[in-house]
Amino acid sequence: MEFKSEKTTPLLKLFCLVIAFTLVIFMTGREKAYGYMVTGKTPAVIDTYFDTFFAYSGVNVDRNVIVLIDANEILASDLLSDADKAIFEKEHKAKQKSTKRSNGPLEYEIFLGVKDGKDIVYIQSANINSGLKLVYESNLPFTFDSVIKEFERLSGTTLTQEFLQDCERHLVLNQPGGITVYLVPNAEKTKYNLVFWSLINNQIYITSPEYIKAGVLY
Amino acid sequence: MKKTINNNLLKIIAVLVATVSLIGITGCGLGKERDCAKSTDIIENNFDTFFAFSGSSNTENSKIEAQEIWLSRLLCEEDELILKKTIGYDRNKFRNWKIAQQHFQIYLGTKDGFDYVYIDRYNNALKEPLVFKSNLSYSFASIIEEFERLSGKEITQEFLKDCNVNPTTGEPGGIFLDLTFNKHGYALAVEYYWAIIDGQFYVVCPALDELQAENNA
Repeated sequence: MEFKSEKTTPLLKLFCLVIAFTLVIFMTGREKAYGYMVTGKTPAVIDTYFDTFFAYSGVNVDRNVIVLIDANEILASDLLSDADKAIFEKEHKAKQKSTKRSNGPLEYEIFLGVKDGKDIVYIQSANINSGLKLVYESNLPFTFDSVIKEFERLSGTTLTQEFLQDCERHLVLNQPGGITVYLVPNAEKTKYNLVFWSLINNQIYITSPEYIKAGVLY
Repeated sequence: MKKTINNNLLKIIAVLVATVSLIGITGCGLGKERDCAKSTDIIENNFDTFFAFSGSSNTENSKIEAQEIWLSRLLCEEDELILKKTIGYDRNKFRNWKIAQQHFQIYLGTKDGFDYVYIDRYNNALKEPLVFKSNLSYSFASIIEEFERLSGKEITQEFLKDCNVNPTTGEPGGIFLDLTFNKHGYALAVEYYWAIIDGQFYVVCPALDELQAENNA
């Protein structure tokens, strides 16, 4: 049997190239490893943006064990007012467009605290070179102070600023000290609720004013 | 004759290209997942008494990865090797990280007096789910007792087997197992358990004191 002909040899070469190219894509995976520069919970951010600190999200910065927050989660939560969500979305999209090639999907860390008597939401992107830092007033239907009081009630311990600003990660649980906030979706994933977590006197406590309001707690 | 062979060859190559492309795009099914609920059937068919569940959570950080299982204390070394072999994990294999990051569901319960760990891939993709004896240094019953002590409530099998998803939390009832890496990164995945009992969150982390003492030493 003779397979070769002058006509088909270039075609065969082309097909072989396509196969090789497809195999390379398949073998290396389509997911690109993007760079993150997670600062983690740091005194620098806390001291710069807040008078008193409350909670942090963006924990577990060891290697790829990173729990960051994406823009959709922020937009589907009550953290920001509708007007601020529109500003955030615009900023996010603009930065995402300009840095997508080098950064991949933008993801965020969140710091919550009080400045000049107002509850403030500080959001910073964790991607290398994006440098997005945004500050908004909290739109949450509860005060940060009320959540601290709830933890104090649960644990029977007074929570000091020293405890809340603690940036040292726990040896066993790999969480920074103080209060950590998670954005947890409902069953339909249409709304993200804030759930607060804290290790106080070697006991883990969890509370969520939104769960309390929805009748899940109490 | 030559032309027919060449045409057939081209067709075969075209089919090959399409197949390889399809496999490349779908990633061989790895990472393809559907939401899997806590299953009454699995609980009833595999356990006399049920304890805890992990894997239905809709938050990314609560999903259990394969590597978390073999870096936890859930299984003995032999069973960890069986798990790795079954899912095709080999340290030297190309793309092994992809296999290590597959998501799994875990059911913990007791059968014939022994504590068992039932493991299945998140999309129930294992041909046969894997069932191992627990390697934990404590019994499942002792954790249930700890939840009872903390809450002051008796924890029934009805509560532990509850598969109804709460619309707000997106989670079924009962006790949940979660694994989290310790500060040393990939050295150890620490197990902890949480539950909402009578409208209050409770968390039990038996490793906390034990590992802290080890670290301090």
